Amino acid sequence: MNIVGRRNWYFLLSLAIILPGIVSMAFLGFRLGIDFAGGDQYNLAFTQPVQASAVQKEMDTFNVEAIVQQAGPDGVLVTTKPLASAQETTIRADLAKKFPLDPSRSSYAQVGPTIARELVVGAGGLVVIASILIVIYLSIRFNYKFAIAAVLALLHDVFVLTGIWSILGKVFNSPLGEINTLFVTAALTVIGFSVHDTIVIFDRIRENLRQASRLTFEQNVNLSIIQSLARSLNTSMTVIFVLVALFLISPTNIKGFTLALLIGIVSGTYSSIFNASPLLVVWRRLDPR
Amino acid sequence: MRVDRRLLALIGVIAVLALFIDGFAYVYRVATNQPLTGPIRGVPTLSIPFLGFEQQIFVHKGLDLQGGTHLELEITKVRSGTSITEARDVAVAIIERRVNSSGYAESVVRPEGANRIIVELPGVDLEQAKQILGKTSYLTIWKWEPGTSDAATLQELNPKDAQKYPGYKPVFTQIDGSMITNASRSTDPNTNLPDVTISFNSKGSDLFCAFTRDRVTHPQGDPQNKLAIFIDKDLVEDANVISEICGGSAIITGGFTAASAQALAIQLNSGSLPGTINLASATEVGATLGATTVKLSLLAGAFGLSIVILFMLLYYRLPGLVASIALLIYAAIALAIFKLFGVTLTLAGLAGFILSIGMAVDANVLIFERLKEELRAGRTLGAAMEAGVHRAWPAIRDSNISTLITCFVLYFFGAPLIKGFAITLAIGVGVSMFSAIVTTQQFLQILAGLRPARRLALYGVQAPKAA
Repeated sequence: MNIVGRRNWYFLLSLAIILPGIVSMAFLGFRLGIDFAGGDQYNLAFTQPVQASAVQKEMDTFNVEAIVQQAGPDGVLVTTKPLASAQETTIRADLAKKFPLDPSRSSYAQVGPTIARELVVGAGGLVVIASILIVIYLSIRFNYKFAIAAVLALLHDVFVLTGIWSILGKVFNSPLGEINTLFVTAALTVIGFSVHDTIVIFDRIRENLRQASRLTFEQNVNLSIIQSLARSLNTSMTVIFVLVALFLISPTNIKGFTLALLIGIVSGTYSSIFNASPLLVVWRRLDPR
Repeated sequence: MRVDRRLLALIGVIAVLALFIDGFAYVYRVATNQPLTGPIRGVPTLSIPFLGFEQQIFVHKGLDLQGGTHLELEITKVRSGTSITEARDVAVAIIERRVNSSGYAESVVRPEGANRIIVELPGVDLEQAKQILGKTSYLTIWKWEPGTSDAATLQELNPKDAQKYPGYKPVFTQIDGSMITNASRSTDPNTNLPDVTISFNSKGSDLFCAFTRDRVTHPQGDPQNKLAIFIDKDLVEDANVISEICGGSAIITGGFTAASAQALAIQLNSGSLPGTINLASATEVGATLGATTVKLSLLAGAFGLSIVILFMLLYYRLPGLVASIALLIYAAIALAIFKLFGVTLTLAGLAGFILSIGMAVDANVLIFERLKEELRAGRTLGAAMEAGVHRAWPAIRDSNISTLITCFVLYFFGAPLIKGFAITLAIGVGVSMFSAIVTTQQFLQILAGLRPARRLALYGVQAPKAA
């Protein structure tokens, strides 16, 4: 199996997935959850099936920029602009009167504008800080080329994930594609996992390079990928099994979270095998020292 | 490498300790003569007197799993002369008192950053929470004197309340909420009606004594006999003064229901907040929703663990069995750490834990893949096991350290929700390294010493051709 030899095809596949996402991010942006945009969100559960359109009609009477979406047959997700405390009380009382509300299965969240601003800055900062620390650590353990290749693979996964999220939220208008704190958590986990995967293969390359052999650098990298393949796939498959199970049974409020982890980990496995290590070969060709 | 008896003993001790802590609720039930099922009375507490050790042992569930309200309050417009952090600390103390006097168990009130306060109220919905926290900010006691209110007073107080009695104006007595040390609902022994008992500090006591002594000289029914309590701008209480009240405590009577007496006691307890408090964010989770989430997560965790064990058994055979046992010990240790150190489990935290199972497996997979390679290369079982662990170690170390770096960044810079995730993931990664390197390795060494365990087919490897 020659993975490194066909590297350009694999780079192309990555681009084919990332580019639409980048276009969507650039022109449409994201569907921001209230964690980031500020506002109020009701996750309402009912004792009988209720149509989102009926709730939407009711919410429109309050004039609070409400968006109502169906979440299962007996649940809806209502998002509004930030509400004053008294207004919130009125709306809730009204909904409880008009619909068969089940408060014990419902949830509600409100995020004020100051907190929302902090989170936006915070989330971006976390990715940058984590990346820098990982580059430093890998530069010590391997060398800076390995470190940068690993971080490029990491950024690949971040772009795949955020791109798909932008498309999901804006093009398909799905509440799953909402950027909220849980999504940021998922993205950061994916970063950890992606680097984890890449390091295992790099470790193999490091070990194979130490042993004197007649193999070229390119053959060496390819051999290392093949040798680690069983491990990469086995580990990822077990995690993916767990996540698919989580996704299928998770309630609406965390479905997006598990989906993000799922996409990120598939992407992380792909990028560590097909992007990170072949990048080392490309770099070696450009700069054969 | 030989089997290290001391390490094995260590693993045994840790595993037994972990199981003891995991099952501590049952030990506690037996010790306190409670039935083994049904709701538990009291909090399971482990105390070892001669070590000075006392620790509550139970799973601390976050609000998203338990149901309740989480509020983030922001202090703005601090009264002059106080710094914002001072104001924050005073507000924390006052809110704490208010929350406790409402009788909400296991609630948390803590400062966050320079000007924020986090309040967590398990089992309380947002409306109740707002009632506890939202209304009161500044309490003052006024008296009525002949005259008409000037513009400044009308600015300070609600004009309708300030002009309640035509021909009378409210005059500030200099007594405010900061002088009240405690207020509680009580019952009038003569009439059996609810009333409110308040205690003053010495300054408040003196002022209140002089004030009431002056008031009782006026006949009942005259506004000048009354004591007016304003909270912020609103008149909440306008009571007759029946006798002078000295000695540091007073009883307010007057048409209370049990609930309204309780509410007034809470408001009085809230004292005087040193600034304006705004609601910065709020989250409310219904009780059943939280319970459903826990059930689903446990189901997912159990399902994940079974898939992993099944896969390990089928793919790696005998070592898979070893790894599965190591994995169960791993889960027991991690759970014991959560319980013992009171790590609050949130939804994100559970996700972090379930993910760490994946990472624990990965360490084992790395070792077994190397083990297979070494066996194929024709090494003896013992040597192959040692080499397998030895050669897998750099990858396990580097990959786990980079995950720990991410956890570190998340913990120190992340929002509370992210912190929970970082802690459980970090604990999981740490324990998983112990599990893979110490537990799995020792178990493998035991296997290498057993004759029936030496058949290579048990390791999913065909015997190499003699070289």
